[in-house]
Amino acid sequence: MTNRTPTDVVLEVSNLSTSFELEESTINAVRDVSWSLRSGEIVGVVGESGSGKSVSMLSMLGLLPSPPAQISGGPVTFAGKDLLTLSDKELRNLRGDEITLIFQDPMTSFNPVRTIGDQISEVIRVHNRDKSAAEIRDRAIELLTLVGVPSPETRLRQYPHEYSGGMRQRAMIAMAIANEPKVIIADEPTTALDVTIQAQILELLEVVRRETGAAIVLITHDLGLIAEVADRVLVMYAGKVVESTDVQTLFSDPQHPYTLGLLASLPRIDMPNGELYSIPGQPPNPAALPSGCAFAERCELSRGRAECTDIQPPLDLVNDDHLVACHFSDEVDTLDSAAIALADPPTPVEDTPDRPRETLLEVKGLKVHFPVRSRIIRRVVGHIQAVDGVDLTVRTGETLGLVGESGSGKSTTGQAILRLIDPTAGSIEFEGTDLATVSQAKMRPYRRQMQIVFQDPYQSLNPGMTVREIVAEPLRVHREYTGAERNQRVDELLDLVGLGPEMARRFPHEFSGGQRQRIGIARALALDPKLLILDEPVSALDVSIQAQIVNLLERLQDELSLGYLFIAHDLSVVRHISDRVSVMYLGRIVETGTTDQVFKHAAHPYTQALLSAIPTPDPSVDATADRIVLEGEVPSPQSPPSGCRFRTRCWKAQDICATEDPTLIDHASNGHETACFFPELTE
Amino acid sequence: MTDQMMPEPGVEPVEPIESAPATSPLRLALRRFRRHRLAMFGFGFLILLVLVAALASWISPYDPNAVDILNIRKPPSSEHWLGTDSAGRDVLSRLLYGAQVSLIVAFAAAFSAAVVGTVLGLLAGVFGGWVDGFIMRMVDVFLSFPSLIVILLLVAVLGPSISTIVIVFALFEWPTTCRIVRQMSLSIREREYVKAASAVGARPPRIMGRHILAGVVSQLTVIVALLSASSILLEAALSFLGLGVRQPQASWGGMLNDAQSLTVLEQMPWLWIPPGVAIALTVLAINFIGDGLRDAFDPKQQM
Repeated sequence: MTNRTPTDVVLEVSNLSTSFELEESTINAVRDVSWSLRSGEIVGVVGESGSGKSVSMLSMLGLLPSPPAQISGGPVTFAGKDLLTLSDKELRNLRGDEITLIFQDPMTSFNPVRTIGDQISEVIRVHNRDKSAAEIRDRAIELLTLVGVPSPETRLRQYPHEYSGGMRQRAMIAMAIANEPKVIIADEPTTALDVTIQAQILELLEVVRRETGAAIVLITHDLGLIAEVADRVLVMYAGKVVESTDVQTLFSDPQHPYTLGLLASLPRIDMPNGELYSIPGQPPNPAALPSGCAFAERCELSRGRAECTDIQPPLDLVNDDHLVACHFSDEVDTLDSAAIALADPPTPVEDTPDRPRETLLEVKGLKVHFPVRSRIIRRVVGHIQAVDGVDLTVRTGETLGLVGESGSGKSTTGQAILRLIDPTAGSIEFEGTDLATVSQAKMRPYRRQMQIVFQDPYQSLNPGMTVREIVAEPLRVHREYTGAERNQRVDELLDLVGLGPEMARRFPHEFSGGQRQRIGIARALALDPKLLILDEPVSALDVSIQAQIVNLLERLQDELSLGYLFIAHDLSVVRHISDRVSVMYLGRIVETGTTDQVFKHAAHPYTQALLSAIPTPDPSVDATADRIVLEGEVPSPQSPPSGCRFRTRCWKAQDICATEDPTLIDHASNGHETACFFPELTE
Repeated sequence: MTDQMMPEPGVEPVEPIESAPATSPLRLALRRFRRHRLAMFGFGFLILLVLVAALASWISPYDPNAVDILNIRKPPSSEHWLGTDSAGRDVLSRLLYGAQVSLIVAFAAAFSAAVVGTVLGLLAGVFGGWVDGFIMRMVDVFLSFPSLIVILLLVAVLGPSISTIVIVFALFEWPTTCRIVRQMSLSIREREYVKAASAVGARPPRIMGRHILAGVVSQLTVIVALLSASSILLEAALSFLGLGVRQPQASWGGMLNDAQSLTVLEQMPWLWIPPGVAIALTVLAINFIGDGLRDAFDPKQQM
């Protein structure tokens, strides 16, 4: 460990700009960015997609292909050298040694045909030619132990595909700290991981900082993560740093309207429900940035003032160590109480008097098993029990949130309800008719009543069809409306989801993620369904856009009294939108109840762990203190544990958990059901 | 909460990404294709060739089949710009007429191979199961034939003609198309927009035509271009062996047939250079077009 003072600057970036020269346009991805990194600190870089947060890091390390990338400005000073003037060879020596990177997807960052041990050893060897093979091996084992990979001797000999996602990210971190770097740049290191795994990796980052003394740059779109681990924060918007300060100040006293808007648009676990604030509009096109402040068009403060539309605001010091790029940052405080209310007036929790809502969908004992076949003779050797006995009820005008980590079977459940996948067993009653076994032909009329909205707005629209054709497809298939009437219906639907009729002629690639999601919703509404299955509808969207879509979904539910099955892994969004919640683990429901019951009185250990794993976007709350960090990962659904499926990761597990299968029991007779032998009953 | 918190429907500003209204992916691809220099060169050459082939009877100086025993194997002169062949026929005229055969064979053969391959590939990809198994085993069988030998046999049985060449080419080249189309339909079938269509209740024909075939079409144009190039080469090879177009009809490969002797090769370059160059340039031009199409449709270039 070194004994530098925390104010030692290890990396200083001055006036860095990066643009991409494309055939038709120039994209200014990073514009005149200056910041510094001090030894041993964690700096969080937040911004929406396209804000230039990753590009600014990659460009100073010479990792962008040029052309098309054009890097200008500087210097970027590291250890007395200007990184921008170094040769490729010098940069290569630096990377992996003094400055290292951790990427989002550890699967693509490892070479699949070489063992993990090989790859870690190589990084050590390249920068330490004098070390012997045995020394390198010992160091690799030491590193894997440090990052918490169990039985490292064996693990060294394994290939990347033999590691799970979380373990791969650990190995990636081991590689990044192999040569005791001074700077680690982590680019969305936990985005591809489940929350319970994310919590493990976050703890690991703290360990890394403590053990190596490295300064860490954490690039992320998740403000909760920033609040938890970062010391200082840079907020980026349209290629510029718009605000930079320490983490407490940023969350308690943001001075840029964009930061304020971002914070306000987060649904929060620890806050009462209300309509979410959403920053209007969307980020500007990076190929045609306005001459003034890039945020002016969406800003509640600008109100079209000439300064905002004409002059780019400089990044000025407003307080100690607090930089803001806004002409009117002194007026931001007025926004607090006016347009943007950071703390919503608490809406009464039991808002609607329990009018009898009719049951729309009742799923009982749903099972979906996929056969696993042997390689050559295609004999069935086992079953993946993706969904294994799920009960659900969705009522008119009500949202049931279905939560779980990847592999819990929540999407499969949704698709089985629509018969996009055939269920193995169980019943799916829609308004009293069992659809589980009807033929696809008999299913067709019911398809008008229940529709689905998918997660990925880039994949769910046919790129070769115009918006009109896409939205009209359900009408065509069911021979509803003709000619002019059909066009009119499409316009109506587009209007309903907040898009103008002039959009109908356009093609999907001309729209942003949020707009595409609106188109997907319009298509789902075309036949006036009663039930919408929303399969992670906002998880691919940026925070400010996510709030727009959540509000749209809530408005549509009110206007059309739709029943929603809202499938998501993001608990904050689920809590915001749901009336009732079911928590899924490995194909089973482990807990179900009203949103308040599940979130305030979580009884199942898994629900408790999930809830505590969510990073709180408030640095004053030390969530890490009593966080339940689950060990290990979700077991394979092909051979789930006997008895309670959660017992392998549960801290309460006893003998009975392995031998007997817990069923959902309503302990307090209030509709709050838990499948656990040792529930924590707090009601 | 106030009303201004929600963006009013329709108020959400949509940045015009392109100033032109509604740029379809096809139009974008065409625009990229037009900027591809080599492809445009190839395209220009091909247009020229089509014109030459179509107007051959007007522009060629002589009847391509007119035998002139007094002027055998004469080097290029002002009367016969490219000289005469072993039967005293005008080489230039035969070259111009030969373009007809090459182009007809190229497109007819490539098109039939692509149609057969696409239909079978779509069926395999969309229906899967035993349909897929059966079609793919057929593909394996066809790809494991020593195709040239079987083609020679077939031509010998069916007799040499343009339609024979088209048939044998389609018979042996559909498997490659089939594999590519199957692979693409498998990946498109898993896209969420296809799932969305089935969730609406769209039946298999609609899903196949409107969603899967539409997604494959762009790649098909590339395949057809590359297949045309290889079918020109196949025609040339067969004609060179005397199994192509029936004599005396002029074809480039047939003209090369004359160059089988060493004397011709060494001393009479006008007999083999023109058809050789014509074949090489045409194949090159078509390959450039194929590359251009591939780049134009390559999603990686789409920003």
